[in-house]
Amino acid sequence: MEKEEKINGIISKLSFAGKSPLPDDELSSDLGFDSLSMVELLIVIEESLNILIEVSDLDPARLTTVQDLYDLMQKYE
Amino acid sequence: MDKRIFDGVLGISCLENYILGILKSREVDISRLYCRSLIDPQKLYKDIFIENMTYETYREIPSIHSIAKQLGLIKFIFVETNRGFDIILKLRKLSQNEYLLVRVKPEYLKEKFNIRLWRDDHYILVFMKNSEIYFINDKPLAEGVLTQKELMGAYDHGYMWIRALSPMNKEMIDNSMIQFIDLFHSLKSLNYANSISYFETDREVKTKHMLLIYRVALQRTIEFLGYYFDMSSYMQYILELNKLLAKLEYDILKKNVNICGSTDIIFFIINCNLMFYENVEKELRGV
Repeated sequence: MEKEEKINGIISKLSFAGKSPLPDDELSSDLGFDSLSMVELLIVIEESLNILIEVSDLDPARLTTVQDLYDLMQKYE
Repeated sequence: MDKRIFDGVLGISCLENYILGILKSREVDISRLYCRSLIDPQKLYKDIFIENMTYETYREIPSIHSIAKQLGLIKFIFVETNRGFDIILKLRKLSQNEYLLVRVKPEYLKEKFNIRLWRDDHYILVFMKNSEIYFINDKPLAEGVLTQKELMGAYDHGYMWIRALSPMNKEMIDNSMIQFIDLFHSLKSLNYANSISYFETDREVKTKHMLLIYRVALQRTIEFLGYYFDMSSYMQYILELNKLLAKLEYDILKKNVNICGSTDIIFFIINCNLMFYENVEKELRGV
């Protein structure tokens, strides 16, 4: 839960939406991330959670919603 | 009209996104406007790596508005004026088939959406809705009401007025295919014989620009040809390009030097294009 709160805080800061993200929010259409700013988002999360994301996880097709981000980060304990 | 007009549009610039969105909202098959999007990766390599062109300044793919105008779908004019109030007057007189794109100051976008722009000239689509000024922004996707004061404050000395003309007809559809076939054969005969250098400065960033342009060019061409052939299997190329772009951007932001990665991407694009050309040629023989 703490991890999700951190992710939400980062999304709120980087997104234009100006609201707390919901799990079903689409990173692109609801929160305004494009293919490049999505990578920036991952790097900020990476630094905040003190993890190193594997190259194989940098796959935009598998990261469409906020929930996808939560799920991915579960991998990194 | 709302921000959903941008679902699936493939503009390279904001102007292209708006034109595509507007025409889509008028039920035009916008994939016909991608008829001249195909590009030879070796020419692209030369443009980016030798001529120093960038994604935001790339003009080698004919613009969507010029194609839409040539096909007879729209007419438009750009107006440069300091008289911001002109757009308010213009807005109030817009008919059902007229649209206004207003150039806005980059700081307005930064303040309102917290975004960095690729280019300094950015436009928003504005129209009257329930007696209020309503705007739609392409990237990030946003829409809402603007006061007259806000619009005047954001206005950056220029606007584009667009009138949608006749709907797409068979002649336009046939014309778009003729244009595609001409382009396809002209690109096939090109021979640039560029050698890939490993030592350019900003190699990763240039590769990113190449990848961004090639991705949209290929995706548009797949959509264009999807009208005639089953192109679903080609989407694997787009998915792979998306992954490569994400990895490359990751390296750029992390300042990881990855010369081999950049070269692999360039060769992937060239090889991917060779396969694409071969397959399209086979398909075209049946037309």
